[in-house]
Formats: sequence, C-alpha cells, structure tokens
Amino acid sequence: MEKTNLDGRERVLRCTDEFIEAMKATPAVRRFAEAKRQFEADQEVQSLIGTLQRFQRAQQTGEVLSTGLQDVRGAQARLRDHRVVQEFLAARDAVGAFLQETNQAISEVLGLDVGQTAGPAGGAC
Amino acid sequence: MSVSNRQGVIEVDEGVAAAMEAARSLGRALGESSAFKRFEATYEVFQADEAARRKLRDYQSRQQELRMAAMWSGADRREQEKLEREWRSISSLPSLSGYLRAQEDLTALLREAVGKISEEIGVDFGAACSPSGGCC
Repeated sequence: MEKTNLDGRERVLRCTDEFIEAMKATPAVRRFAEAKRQFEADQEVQSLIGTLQRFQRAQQTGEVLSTGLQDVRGAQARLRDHRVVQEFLAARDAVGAFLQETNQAISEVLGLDVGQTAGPAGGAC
Repeated sequence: MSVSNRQGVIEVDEGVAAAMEAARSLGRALGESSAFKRFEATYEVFQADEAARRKLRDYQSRQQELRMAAMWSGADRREQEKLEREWRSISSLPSLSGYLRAQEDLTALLREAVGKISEEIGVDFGAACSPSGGCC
C-alpha cells in the first residue's frame, strides 16, 4: 500500500475512492440512493416541484401566472407531507450525520477539520 | 440486504466499521501528503514570526471594522483601497505568503477529495460537516 509517489496526491485520491466504495456499501447510503431514485421518479413529486419552481421564476421575472398563492401553498403542503419526500429528506439527513462522523474520524487522524476547511464556508468569511 | 436478520445486523455493522476504517486511511493519506506536510511546516514558520502575526491581526480587525462600517453607511472606496494595499503588503511577507500558498494547495487537495465524495454519494460533504447555519 505504501507505494511512494512524489506528493501523495495519487494516494489521497485512491483512498478517497476506497472510502466512497465503503460508504456506498453502508445501509445509510444504500437507503439514500433508493430514496433519491424514488424521489426523482415520482411523477406527483416532480410535478409539485415544477409548480413551485415556475412560481419562483415568475416571482423573479414578474410574469403573471394562473397559479394563485393558494395553489402554491397547497403544493408546498402536499410536498411536505409526501411520503417519498419525507423518506428522501430523512435518508439524506442520515447520510449527512454519517458523513459528519466520518469527517470526525478523518479530522482526528489529521488534526484539522477537513469538512470545514473544504466546505462552502471555507474560512473565507 | 437479502440475508437473514441476524446476518444482516452483522453485515450492517461491518459495513459501517469498514467505512470508518476507510475514513481513517484517508486521514492518514492526507496527513502524509506533501501538501499537508508543507502546510504544517509553513504554519509553524508563520506562528514563530511574531511581527507578521501582529500585522495580520491588525489587518483583520481593520477589515472587520470596514465591513461593519460598510453595512451601516456604505463602503468607503478610499478606505477599501487602503485596505487592499495593506493586504498586498502583508501577504508578501515571506512567512505569511508561504503559509497562504501552502494553505491554498492543501485546500485544493481537500476540495478535490471532498468534491468526489459529495458527487458520488449525492450529499454535499462540506455542507453536512459545516456548523449548521454557517456564516454565509
């Protein structure tokens, strides 16, 4: 495993791939993959999302739609209560929590918070 | 998983344990990369440079002041330019510029790894691991 190379980047990327493969074999990531597949394939969910997106776009451009605020609130509520959406969000949260745990493991070895250093906040602000 | 319950539980635990072990291996690989070693070394050089640290602290509090002022009364172009000049001057200090460059290289490597993970798993690793309601 200790194949020496000049800067260790190759090894980092190889370990990253191995980590990804190991993650994909865990129940949390499998559950999320299935939930995501159902979320994307569910016509009702996608149509509700489409309604909300059209409304958002129209608000930005000032376009007048036949969809009223009532319809939009209805779509929001139906989406929130939808079994497929709830499962998708719960599964995503579970993967997020699991990723946090793995980040802690990586960061403990390294002595530096990887998620935070590479994350969106990136120490830039 | 199409195995009996009992085996299922064992497989579940092994899967999680294997992922945690893979995470630690990744941590070790990162720790042994030259980007990380350079980051550590340059950090120590910068920490030892009292004057450069003081200049950076001054710059940062000045930056903070200007940011607050800009929120209340709009940005003062001249003050901004002065701050930019200040930054150019302190960021060219050898101890700080070496550290900043090393930090950039390390961040690029971390982003490459984290980006791969986020893309393959389908959940943003950085966002999941940042404190909720981050600063931006």
